[in-house]
Amino acid sequence: MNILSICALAVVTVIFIAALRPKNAEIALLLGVACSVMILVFVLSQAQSVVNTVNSIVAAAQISTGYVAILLKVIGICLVTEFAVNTCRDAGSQALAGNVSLAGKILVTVTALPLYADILNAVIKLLSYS
Amino acid sequence: MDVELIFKIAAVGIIVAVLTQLLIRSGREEQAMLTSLAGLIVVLTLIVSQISGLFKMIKQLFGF
Repeated sequence: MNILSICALAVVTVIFIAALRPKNAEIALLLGVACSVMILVFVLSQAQSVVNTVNSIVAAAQISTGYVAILLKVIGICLVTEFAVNTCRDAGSQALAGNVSLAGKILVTVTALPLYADILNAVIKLLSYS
Repeated sequence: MDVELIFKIAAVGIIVAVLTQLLIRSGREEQAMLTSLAGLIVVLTLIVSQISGLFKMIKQLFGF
């Protein structure tokens, strides 16, 4: 699956959505959701190699793998949140989209909290050396 | 994962739209409403498994 197929799929779906929307808005929305799910699945099936490369680089650099696990989790949260926000915005409910986006931001902060604690500990250690 | 799903959903949407228009013209608003509801449910059952597959993939890819 390359970018040409993804673009062609998106354009065909948009034409279908434009044809369906005046008569049957719900199914037009579901058609958009189906197309976006399909594109994301196509892309994410190729993203496994990126994750593997990042893991091998981190293993070679001997950084703690806990940090990379947190990083990957944050990327996953961002992906799912973005998907939900775009779907809500497509359906025309801006308030729900904003709230989902807010929830994603807060959950990213909560997930990254151990990193903040580690940075703070490092700063305190440095200060105590001087 | 195939593109036929898109065409399937679009076909269901067009058929449901035509049926709804026909039923409304012949004065059966309740049945038109039920038809559009049935079409919505059919499309939802088609999509839900795909969405679940996507979320499962994200889960195992990013280690949730």
